[in-house]
Amino acid sequence: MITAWHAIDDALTPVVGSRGLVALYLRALHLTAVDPALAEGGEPARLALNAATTPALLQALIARQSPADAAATGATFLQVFHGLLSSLVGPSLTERLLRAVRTSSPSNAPSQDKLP
Amino acid sequence: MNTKVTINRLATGVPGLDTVLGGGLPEFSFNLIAGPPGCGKTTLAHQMMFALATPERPAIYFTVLGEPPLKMLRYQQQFEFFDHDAVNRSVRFINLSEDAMTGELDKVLRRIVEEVTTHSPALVFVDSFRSVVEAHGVTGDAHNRLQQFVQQLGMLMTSWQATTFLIGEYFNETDANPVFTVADGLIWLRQSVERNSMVRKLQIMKMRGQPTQPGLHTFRISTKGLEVFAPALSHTSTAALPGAPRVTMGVSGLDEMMGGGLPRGYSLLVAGPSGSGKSMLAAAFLAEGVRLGETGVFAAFEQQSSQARNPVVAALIASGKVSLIDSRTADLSIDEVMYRVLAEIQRVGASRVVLDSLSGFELALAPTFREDFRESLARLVSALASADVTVLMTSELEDRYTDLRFSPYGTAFMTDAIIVQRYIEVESRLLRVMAVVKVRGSAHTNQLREFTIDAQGIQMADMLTNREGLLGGRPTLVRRLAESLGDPVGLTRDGRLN
Repeated sequence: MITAWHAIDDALTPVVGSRGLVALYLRALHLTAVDPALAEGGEPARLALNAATTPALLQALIARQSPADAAATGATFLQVFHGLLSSLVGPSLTERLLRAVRTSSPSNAPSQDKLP
Repeated sequence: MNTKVTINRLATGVPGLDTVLGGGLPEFSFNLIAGPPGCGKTTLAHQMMFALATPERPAIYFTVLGEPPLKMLRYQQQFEFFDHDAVNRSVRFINLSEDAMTGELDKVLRRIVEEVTTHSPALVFVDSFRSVVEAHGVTGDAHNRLQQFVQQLGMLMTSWQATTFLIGEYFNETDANPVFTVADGLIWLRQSVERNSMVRKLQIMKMRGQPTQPGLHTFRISTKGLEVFAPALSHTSTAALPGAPRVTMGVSGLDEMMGGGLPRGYSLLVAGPSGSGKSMLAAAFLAEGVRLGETGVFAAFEQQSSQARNPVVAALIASGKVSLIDSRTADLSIDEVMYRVLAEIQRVGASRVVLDSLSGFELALAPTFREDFRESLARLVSALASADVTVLMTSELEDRYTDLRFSPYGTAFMTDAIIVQRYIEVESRLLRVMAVVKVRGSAHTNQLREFTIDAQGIQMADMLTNREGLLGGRPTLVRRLAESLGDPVGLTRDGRLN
């Protein structure tokens, strides 16, 4: 999931800017409905929030959960993030912007895990 | 051997803009798109970018400060020209807000150069360059810094063989003159608001080495993007000559009155009061064209529903032989009307055009153009003459029995021919009379002929030779006739002549 987020960061930061990405990140976390304290990483983390620190924050968030929960939270977060971007710029442009993410990120192949 | 450099002209993809630019946009030029907020700068930039960019000629769109990129993408994709597939293939969006927020122009410039070096774009857009300087409260020498920034950017981009567009908010032309001197091209957009109408206008204030069309050009923004209404060029050499073949009017007897019909390519003004039969004559004129295998254009400026339209015209439109331009909005410019009429003439290969009516046309123009109505009309007539069509225009004219007038605008001199229709009172009935007042360079009758309107249309009748004073509205029996009847002139039962 962290790899996927790095790919999203690479794909979107040039387009929407670091602050733009952080704003999307926070909104997606909020919509993922994880524990707010967990999501925001506390006040100090929020203050230090920028595109460079979001992966670490995300890592910390996941580290605090059981492996099963972390995987679910991660998948939900990415899905929500995708949906959020789609609602803003449409599915077609979202696909276009995140094409590199889909092709490069191994975490975007969860179907393999589900197959016997 | 010719060693001069050849400057390629790029087709902007904005209808009408290439004409206004004097033949497209010079390659490697450094251009400013300026104007107040909401005037269409970003839309124009996007439309040109999507039209020009190809994988071999990619574009970079730098967003600086101002409109957040997500919002820009959200709204711009509503336009038909926005091609999702081009994003990250031939079009790349890059946000520079982080660099701009530091307030260091050099840093912004370095970043632009880095990206340009990496991606080798042929087209570069910076939206908005002014915010680079102003967002950080650069005071005092703001103009100098902006000029330096723009100058360096211009130098770098031209050397990099990139056609560049800087988009910036300016409220008046003298706002930052030093910057404007650096640019090769300056496209100024503005909005003119008067009463409840808003008209968008564009001006090419500068385009090095290009024979641009001077003045303000109206444009409209629709889901297709911008459409610029370049002024129609009129060629006087193609103006109709009196000796041209005649066009038949479709009203029996009227052609003879006009000396054999209306010379092809002429403009005819049909003036008369409400209900006198102007639209009937126009309908007959179009129907006659269709009968002869011609096509026509009917430009309606009347505030009436299509159901209320003349049934002959409605049938012609339904048959597809006559094309309808329906303009009831009150924000048209003369150039837009000309653009639409001329485009339609070309599209259907029309040889006959009806403008019904000039009074409605005046109302359909945005208030800002109404002061120039006469001039506008003259340009319209001239443009239509160049299009090699025969034109019939109707004009609502209040019946004034004290003078003989043909047009409320003093525009009668612009047309090649005039027919006037009037009401007269005879034996407690309103009769209609018609006269051919003018057919330039041609003999025509001077008869004032009665006509009637029935289910078949206009039927010409004879002259009312036994009456005089028709133009006074209350004709009298001619003196000779009255005396022979033993009825002293002026002493009838009702106190008037019968």
